[in-house]
Amino acid sequence: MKKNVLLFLALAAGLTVRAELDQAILMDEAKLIEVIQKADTTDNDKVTACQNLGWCGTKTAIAPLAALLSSDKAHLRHAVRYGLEMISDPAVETTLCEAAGKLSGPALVGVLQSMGNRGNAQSVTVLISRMTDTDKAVAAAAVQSLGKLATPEAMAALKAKLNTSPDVAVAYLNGAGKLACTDAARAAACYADLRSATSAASPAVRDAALRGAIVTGGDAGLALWQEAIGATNSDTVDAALRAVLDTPKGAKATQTFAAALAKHTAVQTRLAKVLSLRGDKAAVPALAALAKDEKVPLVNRLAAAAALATLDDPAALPPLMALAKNADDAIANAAKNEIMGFAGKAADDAVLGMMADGDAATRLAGIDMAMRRRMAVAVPALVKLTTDGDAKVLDAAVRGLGDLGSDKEIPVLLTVIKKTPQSETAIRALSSLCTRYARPRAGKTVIHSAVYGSFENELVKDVTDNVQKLVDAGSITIQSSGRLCKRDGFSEDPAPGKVKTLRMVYTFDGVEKSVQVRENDSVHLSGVTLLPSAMTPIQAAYDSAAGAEKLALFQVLTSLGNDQGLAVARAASKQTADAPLREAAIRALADWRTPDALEDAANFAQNAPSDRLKILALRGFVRQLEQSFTIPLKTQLARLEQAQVWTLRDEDKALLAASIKATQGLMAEKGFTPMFDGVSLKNWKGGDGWWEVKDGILQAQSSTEKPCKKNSHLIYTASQPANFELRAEFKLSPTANSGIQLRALDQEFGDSGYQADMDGGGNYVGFLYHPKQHLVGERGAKVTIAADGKKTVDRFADAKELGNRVFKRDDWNEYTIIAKGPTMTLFVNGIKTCELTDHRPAMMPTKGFITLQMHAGPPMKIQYRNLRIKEFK
Amino acid sequence: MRDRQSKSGRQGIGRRQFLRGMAQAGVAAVAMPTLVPGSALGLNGAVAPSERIVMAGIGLGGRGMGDLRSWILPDAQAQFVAICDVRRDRRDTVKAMTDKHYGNQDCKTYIEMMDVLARPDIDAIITATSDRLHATISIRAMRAGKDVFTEKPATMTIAEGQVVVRTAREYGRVYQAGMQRLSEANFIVCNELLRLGRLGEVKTVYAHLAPWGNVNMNREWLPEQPLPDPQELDWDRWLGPCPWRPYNKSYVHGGWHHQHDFYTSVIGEWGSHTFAQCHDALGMQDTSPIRYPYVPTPTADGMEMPFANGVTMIQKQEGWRGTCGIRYVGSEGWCACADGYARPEVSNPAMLADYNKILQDYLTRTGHLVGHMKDFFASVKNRTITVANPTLTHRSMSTVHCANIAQWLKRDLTWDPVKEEFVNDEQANRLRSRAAREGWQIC
Repeated sequence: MKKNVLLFLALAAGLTVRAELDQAILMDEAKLIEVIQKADTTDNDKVTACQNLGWCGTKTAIAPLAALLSSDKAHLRHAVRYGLEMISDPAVETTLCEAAGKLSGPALVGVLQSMGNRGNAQSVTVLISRMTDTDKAVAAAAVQSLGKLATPEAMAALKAKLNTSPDVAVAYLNGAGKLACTDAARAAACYADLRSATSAASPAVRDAALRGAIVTGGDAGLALWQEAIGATNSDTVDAALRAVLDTPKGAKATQTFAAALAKHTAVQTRLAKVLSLRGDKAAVPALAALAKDEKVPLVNRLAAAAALATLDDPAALPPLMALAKNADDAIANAAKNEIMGFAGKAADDAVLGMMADGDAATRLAGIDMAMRRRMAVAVPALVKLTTDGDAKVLDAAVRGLGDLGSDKEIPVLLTVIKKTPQSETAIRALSSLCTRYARPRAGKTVIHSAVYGSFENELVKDVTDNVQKLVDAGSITIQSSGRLCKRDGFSEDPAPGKVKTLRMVYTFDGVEKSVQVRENDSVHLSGVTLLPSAMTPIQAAYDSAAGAEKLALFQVLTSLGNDQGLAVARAASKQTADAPLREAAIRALADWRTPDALEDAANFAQNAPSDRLKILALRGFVRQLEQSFTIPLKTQLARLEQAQVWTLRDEDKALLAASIKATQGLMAEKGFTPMFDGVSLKNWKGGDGWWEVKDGILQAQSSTEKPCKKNSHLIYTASQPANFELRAEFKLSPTANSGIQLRALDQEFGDSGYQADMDGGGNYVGFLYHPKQHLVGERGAKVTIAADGKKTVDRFADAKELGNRVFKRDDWNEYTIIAKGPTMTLFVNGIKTCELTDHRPAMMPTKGFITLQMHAGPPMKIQYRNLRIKEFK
Repeated sequence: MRDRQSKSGRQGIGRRQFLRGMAQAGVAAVAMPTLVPGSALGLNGAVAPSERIVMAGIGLGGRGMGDLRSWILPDAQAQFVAICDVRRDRRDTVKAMTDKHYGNQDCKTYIEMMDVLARPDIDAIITATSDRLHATISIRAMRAGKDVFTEKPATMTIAEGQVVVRTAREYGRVYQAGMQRLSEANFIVCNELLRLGRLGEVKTVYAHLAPWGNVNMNREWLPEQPLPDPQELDWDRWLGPCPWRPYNKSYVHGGWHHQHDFYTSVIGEWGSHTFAQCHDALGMQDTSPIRYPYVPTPTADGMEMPFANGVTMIQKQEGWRGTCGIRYVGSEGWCACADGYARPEVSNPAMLADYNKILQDYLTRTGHLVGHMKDFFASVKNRTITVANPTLTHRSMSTVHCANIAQWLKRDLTWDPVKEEFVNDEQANRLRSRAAREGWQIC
């Protein structure tokens, strides 16, 4: 809007076309020419217009542009060349040649540059005539442009002056490079010229000429290379090494390069490297010989072997295997890494050979390499080694199966566990194998609320939208970090210097879940299920096992911490036949990593078979309760207080006391002002006599005898807040109809503006109602209304399902209402139900009264308590 | 012969000559494809002075000083000896940082880049100016026989990229552009998942587009302010080959962003990284997408750019919880990564079971290293090709430039990546290069 006004003003005033030039790209040739010709145009406009003429100009633009080539302002001369260089019409060459005849100094330099950029042979004569100009800058520009043209005439002219200046050599090299793309023989001749006339060339140009001569020279080039690789000057050697990569493919060249390995020990490691990247197996024999040569340093042999590995040649293996056993750890480890990265069956076979070796240490090294290489083909060998006589080998093999085995190896590991149920390695191996058969379930995820920050300090940010976006984009894992607060590409820290937490409530396939994770940890939204191919055999073994074996399998089944494991643990905790198993189950439930076993822990804190287990369960209960943020703090506190009678020792009493104190601390809200003092109607007025205070509750009650026939409002008088967070607990009789009016305009009749709606049946709780638009702020939706009244609805939950989930009938519920700018957001019992943004000032006033409604209707009872408000800017 | 005075005082023997003696002594940690720590080889991590890569900086601001602080100064393979900058405060800061690190006063300062490039003892330079000068400095340095580490976006035009490629080849120079994610484990593993076929057939890849800015940039001059003393700030050199405009302090302090003459637009901002990642993963190092459909929005969010083989790269502003993300979607799965991810995101966690093996296979096969500067140093010593090599850099920047040009001209463009020209669009072809100011012509 602002920009259009500016544009209009600018055009109306006729002073400048700046705004128009700035609007994307003006492509009107006639208008642009007018701009550069008008006397009162600013330089800025002229420069932009010249550039734009380059984009759209035709032959017509050439003369007006050329008129400025002799300007005394360098930036205008540049601008017209900027334009002219782009116009493909050959008339530009004529213009440039004519201008060159008249210009001198920097202006001429520019024109000569442009000739080179355009690369038109028509300019050659002019450029040659300026090669020896007394103005050095002019001569240099001419020389440079001749190299860019690289026509026979230009190259001949440069060749004649090769010895006169380094600039000529650079230009000649440039020309040669251009020729090399099309005509290697001609390029080779140019490189030879450069090499025989080196007095003026810089060292870099000489090295480049050598490289060019090698790469384009065929057999002669290879001869040059053999000389260069043995040179005393390291830059020459560098050029030779690089040429190994650049020389055209061919076994003969590769063999020539590889043959130098034996002759020049100083470059062995580097030459081996470039040979491997040349990617030609013709280098293999020479590299293999070096890798085996016991007379050369270990690092050189390792480099050769590594090069063979890069070339994917099995000749790499024997030396690498030998080096892998070297006493020098660094060498051995580097060799093992190379074997790890070596593709192909030959390496697999070599590793299998080691695993079958008579020497236990070699078998162990073999298992190590099979694991590093993640060799599925080693699985049968590993199975075999699970009966190995050597305990270390056996242990490593079991670990290997855990790492590499498939569900087919489950019976083998079950056998190991049966034989040695005390083996931690076997339990861990089977558990680790199971993780590969645990699948996140596919399903629909809806994020109801995601809040990130420091909850203790009330420095949090609602990140629901950002998390939902990630989920919509396919994420199944959400990392708890400030990046979730991203706005305009920048992360925001809602609580600098504080430890932050992400709390999310979401449904996965209709099942509600809540989760709380610390900064930088991740949430897996879907949870995991162990596939039947793994679950069935382990469950069967577990069912039929007894004693230590059963305990071991119990550990495996509960290791994933998923719903299946929870079911197993619960069942085991309920039976009494196997006491040790029951004990393990109670421990597992107490230690459950999510709050899913909260009620189990509560139960066992009272009813476990031993005091020790009761104590463990109590501790588990407290920990899991702390993780259960969807349980209101008040309920948490009540449950902690209730748990006090379960304590057996002073330490546990102290633990509970500390937890109670911490919970009370969290409950103390910061920055809120009570709106209702609990004893009087101070700060309230109106309400047509319906409202009274009873037992700390603000209530209104109608009856058959005294019906409420007209809507009435109790008005909060302490302020007319603009931006605020309001929290209130409410309880409604089944027929009650009430609501909290927000930013109401009219004190006398409060039914104006938006209302956080509520009714005893729960049908309208969580909706934003408006008398002129009715239930416009739908439950489960994010609604945006533009200034023109256009409404966009973005649904995040089903209205009915959400209502059933959040609202408790005949009970106290809590509303949290946030009004900020044009946006109002409702939460019921901590769960977001509605967000509405209305950009129409008439509908969404910036501030106003807060009132409590009593709606006309059948006999009803409306109760409020804990009304409090926090205002902010 | 190239005339370099080596530490041993022997004329005509270059610095890296010392590698010879070192290798014979069995201590050549430098040439190992997998890192053998010097300590294990009896060096205790120390690198002889004569064997170090002698480096200079040209134009180091925040990013460049970060590279210096975290990648160059702490690395014993390198010795940073000089800073060239048109800003005095930057020269002073870099010199102070360097001298403090080495405990001496040896870091020399320059204003004119050709002066520092003329020093025969310098092997390599790092440049981290804003977009406008990367190619000019890189090309001049390579022509002076220096290896180059340049920050991104590496080119202002397609033509500049072509010259970078040709200069590196003809002068046999090592060149690495600062797309450092190509040397980060998570991103490497993502690219490998695609290359190894673990995602099935991949038809679509997503490249993160910076979520701010505009493709159409500012062309209006800011009000003229008095020119500073060139010793404090050399405005003419700051501009380099770019169109002149009157001095205003804000250009120098970040205001070059969003200026048509100095900046590669919102697309270049992150596209210079993310396009390169996608090009590399798809094996499209030496080509570019063939179509650039005009998107009538300020940032061209969602532009779908198909390569000749039908694989489409889509630039998107949303979809990641970090910066500079990529997402590859195949018939059998997908993977995604962005800065700050502890591990890549994958459709099936089993894909990452052999994370280390995937990484090591890649290192063995390609000879590259984890760590972008380390990869550069290894290439300098071995004369090999870097991961962010001139070809990949030029081609992925060409993709940026082509997308920009389609947006500027407001029409769909077709690109011939072999001829490096737009098909049937003479006007678009004009925008492949820009004239340089007098005296600033690069090769």
